[in-house]
Amino acid sequence: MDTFAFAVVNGLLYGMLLFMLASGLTLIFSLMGVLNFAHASFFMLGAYFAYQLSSIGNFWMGLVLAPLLVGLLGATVERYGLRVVHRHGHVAELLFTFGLAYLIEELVRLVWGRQPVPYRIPEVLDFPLFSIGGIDYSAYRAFMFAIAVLMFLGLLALLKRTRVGLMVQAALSHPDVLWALGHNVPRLFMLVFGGGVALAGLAGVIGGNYLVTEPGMAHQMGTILFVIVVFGGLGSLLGAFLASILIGILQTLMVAFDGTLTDLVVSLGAAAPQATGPFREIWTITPANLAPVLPYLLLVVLLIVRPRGLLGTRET
Amino acid sequence: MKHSVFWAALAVSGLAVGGLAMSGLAVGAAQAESIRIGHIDPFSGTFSNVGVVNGKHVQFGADLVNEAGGVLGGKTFEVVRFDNKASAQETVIAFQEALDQGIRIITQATSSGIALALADAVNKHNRRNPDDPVLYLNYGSADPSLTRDKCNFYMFRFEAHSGMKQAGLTDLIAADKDIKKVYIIGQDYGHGHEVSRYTKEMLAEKRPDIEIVGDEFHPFGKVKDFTPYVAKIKAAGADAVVTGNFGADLTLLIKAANSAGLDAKFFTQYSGTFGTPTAIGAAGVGRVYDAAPWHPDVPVEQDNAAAGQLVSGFQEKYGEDLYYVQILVQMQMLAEAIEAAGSTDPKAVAGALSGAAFDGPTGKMTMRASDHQLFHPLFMSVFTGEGITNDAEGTGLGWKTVLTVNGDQLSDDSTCEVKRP
Repeated sequence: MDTFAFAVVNGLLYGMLLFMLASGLTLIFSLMGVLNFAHASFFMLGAYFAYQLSSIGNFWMGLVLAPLLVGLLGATVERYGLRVVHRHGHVAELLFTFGLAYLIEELVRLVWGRQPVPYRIPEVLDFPLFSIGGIDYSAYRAFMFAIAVLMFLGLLALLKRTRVGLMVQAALSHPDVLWALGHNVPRLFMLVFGGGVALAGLAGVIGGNYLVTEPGMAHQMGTILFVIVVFGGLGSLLGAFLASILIGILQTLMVAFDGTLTDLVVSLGAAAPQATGPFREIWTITPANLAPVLPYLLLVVLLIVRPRGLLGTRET
Repeated sequence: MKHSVFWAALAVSGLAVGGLAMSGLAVGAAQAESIRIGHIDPFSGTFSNVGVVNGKHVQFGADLVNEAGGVLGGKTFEVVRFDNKASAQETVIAFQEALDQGIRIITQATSSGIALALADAVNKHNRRNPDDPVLYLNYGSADPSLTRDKCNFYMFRFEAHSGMKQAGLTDLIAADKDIKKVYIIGQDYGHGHEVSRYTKEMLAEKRPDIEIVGDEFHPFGKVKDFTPYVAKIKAAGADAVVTGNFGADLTLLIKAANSAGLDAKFFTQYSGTFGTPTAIGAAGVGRVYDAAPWHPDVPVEQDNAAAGQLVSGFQEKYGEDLYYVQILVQMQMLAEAIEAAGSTDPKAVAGALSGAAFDGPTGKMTMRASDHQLFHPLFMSVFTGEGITNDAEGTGLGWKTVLTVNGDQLSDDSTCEVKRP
C-alpha cells in the first residue's frame, strides 16, 4: 500500500511537470498542425532566462518575467519565421522547427557556456514538507505541483470561458470554417504559438532548478513530449493531462517493482531457467530498465487500436 | 526582401566558416618545425563541454613545455585538434586525417568506447607499418581493459582506471566503521557494471561484514526522476551508496537523494568536474566522496607552491579551474621522454616512456613498464564548505582530502605484458 501511495504521489508530481511541457505543445500541434520540435528548447530557454533573472534579482522575478520573455520570443519566431515558412507547407514548417531546436541549443552554449549553470531552488521553499513511505517531499515539489495545477485550471478557464478560447476551440475542430468567417487566424496562430511556448518556458523556470540547467536539457526532454501529445489525443488538454499523469505513475511503479521473469518462474515453483543465446536478456531484465521505453510502447499500441489518441477529437 | 536578407546572412556565415578553415591551414603550414600532437575529442555537439575543457588542458600542458624552452634544443609542441563528434567512426576518420597530415603522436580519452576503437585503429596501423608507428597517449579513459587485455607498447594511460579508483574508494569505505550496508547503483552499460563488480569483490575482501543491500543498473542518461530509486535505497537501509555515474545521471541522483531526505554517503568517481559541483551544490555537502588524481585544494594541503602556480596560471589564462592535471603530467612526461630518447621517433619515445618515473605536481609517479599504466597519487576527498581555500567552480564549496593513496600503494592486478618491437 505504501509503495502504491508513493507511486501515485511521485507519479503525480513528475507527471505534472511533463504536462506543463506537453500542454503548450498539444495546443500548437492541434491548432497549427506543426509538430514543434523546438518546444523543449523553449523549455530550456525558460530555465536559462530564470537563472539569469534570479542571479540579478530573485527567483520570483524569474518566475514572472522568464515565461513572458519566452512567449515574446515565441511570438516573434512565429510572426517572422514560421509564418513565412507556412506558405511552403507542413514539411517546411517541420524542418524549420527542427533546425530552430539546434540553433537554440548552440545559442545557449554560446551565451551561457557548455557546463551546467548554478540555478538553485529558492531557499524559502527548500525544506521537507511531508513524508510518504520514508521519502521526504520538499516544499518546492509541492510548489511545482501547485503551479502546474493552477496553470491547468487557468488554461481550461481561458479556453472554455473567453472569446479567444472560443476561437481556439473552433480552430481546433474546424479551422477552415474559422478562416471562412473572416477571423484573423494568423494572429490567433501567433498568440497560440507564443502562449504555448510561454507555458514551456514556465515549465523551464520551475523545472530547471529541480533538474539540471544545461545545454543538453532540451534534447533529453524532447521525444517524451511528442508521445504525451499523440497519446493524449490531438487538441485535448485533458488527454495530455491524463497521459502525463499515467506515464509519470507507470514509470515510478516500474522502478519500484523489482522482479524479473526468472523470479516469477522460480516463485511459481519451477526451476530457474539458465537461458543462453539471443533471448537470455528477457529473463534477467528488470522492469526499471524498461521504464523509459514504456511510453513508446504505449504510443505504438494506442496508435494501432485508437489512432486519434486517448481523448482526441479528430484524426491525425 | 526577407529572402535576400536571409541569403546575405547565409553568405556571411559561409565566408566566416571558410575563413576559419583557411586560418587553420595557414597555422598548420607555418609551424612545420614544431612537434605536432593530434588531439582527437568531441569539440562540437552534446559532449563538447568535456572536449573543450580537456582541449584547454592539452594546450596548457603544451604551453608549459614550450615556455620551459621546448624539447631537443627549442622544438615546440603544437596541438592540432580533430573533432570526433563523440562518435567512434568519426574518431577513426580523424585519426586517418591526422596520419595524412604527418602527425605521429595522438591523444584522446573522452569515452572509453571511443578509446577502444582508437586503440584498435592505432594498433592496426602499427602492425601494418612497423617502420612508421603512431604513439597513442590516453590521458584518462576509465575502462580497465585498455591496459589489461588491450595493453600495447605504443599506448600509454596517464590516469588510474575505474578499478584502481574503486580500490581507493573501497579502502575509504572499509575504514569507515559506521558503514554496514552498501547500495550499488550505476548506469546500465560497461562502466557501471565494472564499478559494481569491483566494489563487490573488493568489499568482500576488505570488509566481509558489510552487506551489499542493492545492486541496481538504471537506463543510461534517460532517467529524469530518481526519486523511485532513492526510495529503494532508503527502503534497503543503506548507509552508503556506491556509483560510477557521471553528468546528469550523477547530479540528479544526488539531488533526488537530498530532496528525499536520504541520509547516506555517496562514493563516486566523477563528482569533481564538468559542472557537477555546480549542479550538485549544497545538496552534496558532507555526503559526496570522490576519488580523483586531483582537486583544487591539493596544492594547499601539500603546501606545494609550484602546483599552486599551475592553478593560478590556468585561472589567468582561461578563467576556469585547473582540473585535469593528468593531462599536464602527460605532456610533461612526453617532453621528458623525447629528451631522453633524443628524437621524436615514436618507437624511441615509447621506449623511454615505458617505466619512466616523473616528479609530478601531486607527488611521485611511475609509468608501469609491463602494461603502460601510470601510477600516481590518488585523493579520496569529501565535498564540503569548511576549511577550503580553493573552491570548486566558484561554488564556495570544495573538496577536502580524507585519504591519500600514493602511486606506489595504488593497486591494480593487471598481468598484461606489452610486446616490444
